[in-house]
Amino acid sequence: MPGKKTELWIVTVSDERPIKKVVADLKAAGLDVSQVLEEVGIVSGSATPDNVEKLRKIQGVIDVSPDHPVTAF
Amino acid sequence: MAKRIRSSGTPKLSALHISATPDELLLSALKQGGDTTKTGRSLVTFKEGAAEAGMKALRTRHGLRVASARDFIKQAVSFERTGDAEALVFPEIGVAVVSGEAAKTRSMTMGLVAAADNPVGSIDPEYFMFATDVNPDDYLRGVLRATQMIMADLGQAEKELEHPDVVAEVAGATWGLNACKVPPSTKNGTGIKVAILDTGFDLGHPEFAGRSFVTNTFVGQPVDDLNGHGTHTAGTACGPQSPAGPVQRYGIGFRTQIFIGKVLTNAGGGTQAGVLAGMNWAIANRCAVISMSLGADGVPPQPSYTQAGARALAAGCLIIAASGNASNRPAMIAPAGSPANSPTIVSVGAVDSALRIANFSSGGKVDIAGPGVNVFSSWPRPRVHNTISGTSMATPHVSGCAALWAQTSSTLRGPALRAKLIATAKHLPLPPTDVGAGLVQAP
Repeated sequence: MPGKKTELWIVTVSDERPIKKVVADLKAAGLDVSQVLEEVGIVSGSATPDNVEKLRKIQGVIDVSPDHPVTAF
Repeated sequence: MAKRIRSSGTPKLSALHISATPDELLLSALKQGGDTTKTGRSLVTFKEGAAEAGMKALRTRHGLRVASARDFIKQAVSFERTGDAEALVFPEIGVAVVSGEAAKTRSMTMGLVAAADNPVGSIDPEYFMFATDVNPDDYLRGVLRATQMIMADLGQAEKELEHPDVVAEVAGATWGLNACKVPPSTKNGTGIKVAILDTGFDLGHPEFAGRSFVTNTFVGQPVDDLNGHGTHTAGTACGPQSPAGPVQRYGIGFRTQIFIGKVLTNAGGGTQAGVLAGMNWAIANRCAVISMSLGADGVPPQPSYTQAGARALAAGCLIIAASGNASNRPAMIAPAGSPANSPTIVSVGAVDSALRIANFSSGGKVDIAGPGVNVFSSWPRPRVHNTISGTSMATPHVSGCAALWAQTSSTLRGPALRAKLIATAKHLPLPPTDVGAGLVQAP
């Protein structure tokens, strides 16, 4: 069931609302929050791909993208 | 015929036993501190033709549990299968390695060697060995350093090495620092916070003693760099003005306040989430320069990185990242990876000592260039230095110069600092998609 597998997502949040309010809405929409990075306005957490569309609709959410690996250059 | 050495009972083995892995030995040496060039084990060299007698002597005279390479098929020794052996003899070359514990407790010292009938010719400490680099300057430095180490062992540490012209040649500064006009600069980065987001740092490195460090790990491993990459890049950006001995200067901001954010594991990998956490931390600490020699190839600009870059600029911080090493020029030029490809982040390409574009340097969205081929810098103990290549090496040249510029005026922060770096870069006869505005220059 591809839509049900939990993955890590990076949520970019604007500063139009207090980030705590956006985080509350993200949690309610099914994001299992792991980090809230206030300086950069980023929330990371796990959710199933099915939930991601709900996350994108929350006020203040600019973007939801999958986490990806990085390496030393 | 071979037999496997079996463990008889379970004697407590020190960290310096025959079956220890190189990593175990290295970690043990680093924990001990002090001279980290030696493993703590000893090498016994037998006199000509005396290997058999020597092996017997180790057993009977010194009471050691002795294994032989002949115990393995075709003498293909597997160290981890030596069980509780305290010595391992290599019959073909007449040498035995003796565990650290055994050497200490059975008093294996040079005093025993005096007797003519003693099969032992000499007992010496075992040194760590590392792959060498192709760079001839580095090889020469390695020879000098090895000579110093041996002379120190022979108790002649005070004696001056009689190679004055070689010292003059080897001292000075790296080609990269010279190309960026760093040595004549009167700036040193005093009061400027520089964050290095990488594989951590060897916090006990002797050339960084007394430096100011703030550290944090984002990868569940201690900040201590067991990879080398983070120690090397931080060395370029923040290394010392005059490293001891005949070692050339390799670092730019030698009075900067160093923030080490470990966002890459000791294996050199990480996640975007971890990198963003590191960026967040560096911005929260108001680091004027944030150096990121990392990224992901073939990934389009990420909104998260672009926003992080924008927030950084607004907070008076400048994020500088490597464009990537995915090209194979001239046949293939790869696009800059993320985070360098974000418009709010400075993307750095690499040039070689002839100021040609490095064949691996990713292109397209490139803002500035730095020295990135055969770059000499710091490395974790016991090696302490290394020479490697990459846009990862070019990036801290830009970061170090940025720290010097930031010191010249408190107005040079964020966008103003970025503009200054671009405006003062040395123009190169290469497309901006390779080198951006040109080669970064120090104030």
